[in-house]
This record gives sequence, structure tokens and C-alpha cells, in this order.
Amino acid sequence: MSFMDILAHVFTGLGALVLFASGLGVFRMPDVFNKMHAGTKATTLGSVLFLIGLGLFEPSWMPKLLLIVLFIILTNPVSSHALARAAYNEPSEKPDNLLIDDLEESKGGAQ
Amino acid sequence: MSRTPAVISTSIVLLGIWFSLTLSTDIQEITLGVVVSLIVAIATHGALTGNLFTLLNPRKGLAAINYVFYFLGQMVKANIDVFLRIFRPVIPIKPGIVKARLTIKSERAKAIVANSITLTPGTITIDIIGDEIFVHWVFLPSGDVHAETQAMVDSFAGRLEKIFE
Repeated sequence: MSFMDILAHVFTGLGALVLFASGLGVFRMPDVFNKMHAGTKATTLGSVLFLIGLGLFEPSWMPKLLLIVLFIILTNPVSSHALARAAYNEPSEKPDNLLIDDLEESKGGAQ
Repeated sequence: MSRTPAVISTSIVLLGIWFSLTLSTDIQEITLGVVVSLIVAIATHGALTGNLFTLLNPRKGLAAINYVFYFLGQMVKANIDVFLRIFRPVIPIKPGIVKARLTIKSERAKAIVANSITLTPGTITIDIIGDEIFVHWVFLPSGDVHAETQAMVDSFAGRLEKIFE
């Protein structure tokens, strides 16, 4: 097994581990915003590591995989913002465990 | 024309994407790529990259590289943080939404700051209203929460200001 292969196994293995942690996080966290912490950060790095590992297995795929990596880094947080805003504005989803909520005050002041 | 640098830098980025997708040196492929990327760049340069030639200025280019590495480091830290949190028997959380002020004016820079905060340890962006950004902490920092949040936002916005200014 060449050095590249070992490196590729390390990357894909780490990526799979991070993705597993992300799934477990979405399952275990108590409310929508905290679930989003696990579901955004960990899926981003998890997929990035996995795709780079895949690129090390097949170097000719690397340019396309790097494009996907860039796309994921740019779009994953955007989808998380959309979900977070929607969850905040939907009263039945909004958690009641927030210790500080500056956004509530700002919205209350604006209305 | 003042738009020309933005059109050219957008088309160079699009051409880069085209080459990494086709991986071909065939003259027909290249010609088609140049033509299509120019047309798309003329239509969308304002929404996509803007003028990237300012990054050729060494000070701004170094600031951009500095930002990328700072961001990648924070992203790895964020994942270690999530990882250590999730495997505890009782997940330690102390959530709260905190307001901070964005000194940076460019809309593109605001979007980058918001995305960066989402991918860094313990924080996600909920909303931006005007020049105020609302950050959700999974575990509120001890001490003055607003000062800590402002410092965290400024660590990104300050680095970006050197690029956009």
C-alpha cells in the first residue's frame, strides 16, 4: 500500500467519523438551534475530509472534487441561516431555553 | 469602462471551473469555455466575484491568505469542539442569542462574516438586520457576553476589512 493510499484512508476515515458525530449530534441535542450547530459545522468538515480522501484515491478526480468542496463550504452555512431564521420566526419551533435573546428585543422595538 | 476588471476576473474564475470540469486541452472545448464564461460574466459579474484584481495588491493578497488560514483553523477547532461536546453523557449547553455590531459596510463582506461565524466554534448566525448581527452561542462565554461576542465578530470583520476596505 502506497503512502497516498494510507493518507486517503486516513482522510476518508476521519471524514466518516466527523459525519457520524454530526448525525449523533442532531439526534442528541435538545433544541433546533443546538441541533444546527452539529448539523452545520460537522457536516461541512466531514464532507470536505471525505471528498479530499476520495481525491487521494483517484488523483484525476481531484479538480472536480475540489469544486464540490468549495461549493459545500460556500452553501452549507447559507442553508443553515435560512433554517435558523425560519425556526426563530416560527413560534412552535422556537426553544424556550435561551438565557439571553437580543433578537427578541430588537424585533419588539421595531414593531 | 469601470466594469471591465470585474467582468474579466469573474470570467477567469468561471473559466477555472470550466477547466476543472472538462480537464481537456481540446481547442473546441477551450474556445467554447472562453465564450460562454465571458457571456455569463457580463451578465453576473456584480453578483459573483466582483473585481478580484485588487487582490494583486500584495498587502490585500496577504490579508486574503491570512483570512483563509485563520478560517480553516477555526473550522477544525469548531469540529473538535462539537465532537467533544456530543460524546459527553450530559451535553453541556448554555444557549443564548447575542447582538453584535458589524463595522464593515460591504454586503459581500457581511455575508462572508456571517458564513464564517456559522462554521467556527460554538456560534451560528441567526440573522443580520442592518449592521447588527445576531449570534447564537451553544455555550455562552463567561464574563461580559456582549464584549466577548463583539470580539469574536471583530476577529473576522477586522481581517476582512484589510481586504475590502
